[in-house]
Amino acid sequence: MIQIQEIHKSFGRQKVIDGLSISIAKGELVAVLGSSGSGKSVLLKHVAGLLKPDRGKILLDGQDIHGLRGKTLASLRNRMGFLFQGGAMFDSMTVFENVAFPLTERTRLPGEEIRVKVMKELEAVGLSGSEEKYPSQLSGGMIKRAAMARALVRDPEIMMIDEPTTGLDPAIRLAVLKLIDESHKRLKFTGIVVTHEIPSALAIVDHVVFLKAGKVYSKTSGADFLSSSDPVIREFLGGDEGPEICPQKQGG
Amino acid sequence: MEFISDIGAFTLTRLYRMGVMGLFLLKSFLYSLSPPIKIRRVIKQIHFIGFQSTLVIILTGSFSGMVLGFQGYYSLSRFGSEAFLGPMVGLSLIKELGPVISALMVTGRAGSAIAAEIGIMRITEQIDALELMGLNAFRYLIVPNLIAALISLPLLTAIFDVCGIAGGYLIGGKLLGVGAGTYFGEMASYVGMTDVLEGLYKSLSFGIIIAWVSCYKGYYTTIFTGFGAEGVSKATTQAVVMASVVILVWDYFMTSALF
Repeated sequence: MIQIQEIHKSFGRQKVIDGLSISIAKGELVAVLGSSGSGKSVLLKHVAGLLKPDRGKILLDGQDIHGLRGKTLASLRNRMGFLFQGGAMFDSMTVFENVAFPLTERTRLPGEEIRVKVMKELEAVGLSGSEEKYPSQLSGGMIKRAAMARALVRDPEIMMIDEPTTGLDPAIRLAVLKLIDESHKRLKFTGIVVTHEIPSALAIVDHVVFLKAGKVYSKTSGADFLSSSDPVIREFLGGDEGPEICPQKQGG
Repeated sequence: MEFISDIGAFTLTRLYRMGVMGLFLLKSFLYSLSPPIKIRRVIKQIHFIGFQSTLVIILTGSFSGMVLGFQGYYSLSRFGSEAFLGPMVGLSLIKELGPVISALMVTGRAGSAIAAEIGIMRITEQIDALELMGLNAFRYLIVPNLIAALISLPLLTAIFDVCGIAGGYLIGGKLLGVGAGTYFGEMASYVGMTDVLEGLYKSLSFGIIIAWVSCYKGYYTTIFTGFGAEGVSKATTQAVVMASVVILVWDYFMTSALF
């Protein structure tokens, strides 16, 4: 489904991605981990086609996203959802208008059908009753959930999630992760989650990809990653003891 | 040696940015000429650029006309030609001051806001979000501003001209004693359709300049002016300064060509 083939990216003299290759199967949810500056968010933007690699290819369903233009690219992006780190909500629109926006702009669904779909999505993320609020009136966690509803409203086949829990308090973090897990089970999308949320986030993903110096250092299951004896991974996890909880992938 | 290399690098950067800016305008035109056009967005922007600028245009137009009334009367009375106050005010406003001052006012009021809005959308990844929804950010953000400015500027200029002529009459006619018949009659004799068209062409081109420069500066905020609030602030300032300078320089070339 997603094949990242030997991509390289530099910003000026700084090499951010250095020959990175990953293959993600259809319906698989992968967490991308790595220290700051290891190229996680840059990788996500490459997969979405927002950044172009200096070398290498990214194939989505066999199509090179950077070779697509116009309607073909728009139609591929129509199948994608992207949760930005800051939410990227349109601040001049209400929550309802934000979530409805992809449907009003990209589909010919009648207004009532859009309303039903939006309200259902807002209910799923626990934001019923907040539809008339503006993003500036929402808390950080609510913005993340509203952005999630907007990303999910078109039932994406490919979902990219950039640091969904950064800046949230522990209870909200778990709620957001649970939401991602439920959405993944419901929609069965192929997804990439860039996160620092260890170990909680690893419980909801199929595999963990660990980046080091712009390359894939390892791709393992969440449990194997947490119990790894590799010194580089142990160092990343914060010492020999590692995190206290070692979760198992639930269902899916 | 390093000095020469710096000059070369500076020149190349400027040339690159000019190229990007030129392509930005070309792309805006191409999208403006091909459907679909976001009509609702166009109407919203006409309301913002045009309707909401009306009051400031009425005020500046009236006072510019009043100043012209005083200054024109003062200059013309030295030659005993007060009767030509009407044509002088009319021609100055219609050919020159109307389009230029209207454009500068719209640049300050709406151009800065357009640059800031698009700049904020850029730094908060809202433009990326638009593109990831399969929407064309140019069609959604740039084209409506371009079309709205093209429609609004000539109308605002016309309002400015009318208010200015009325302001000139208020001073010249009511205060200084030039008769209404003389003021408007002479104006009708000396101001022709070519003069009106010259003003119209100018206001249309100024509309393009305002939308082009403001949208460009906002759209490339993170790339050319830096990140965060400081980047947006720089983009907004640069949009106003650059649009104002380009308007005045372009005005010179148009005046030379249409003289």
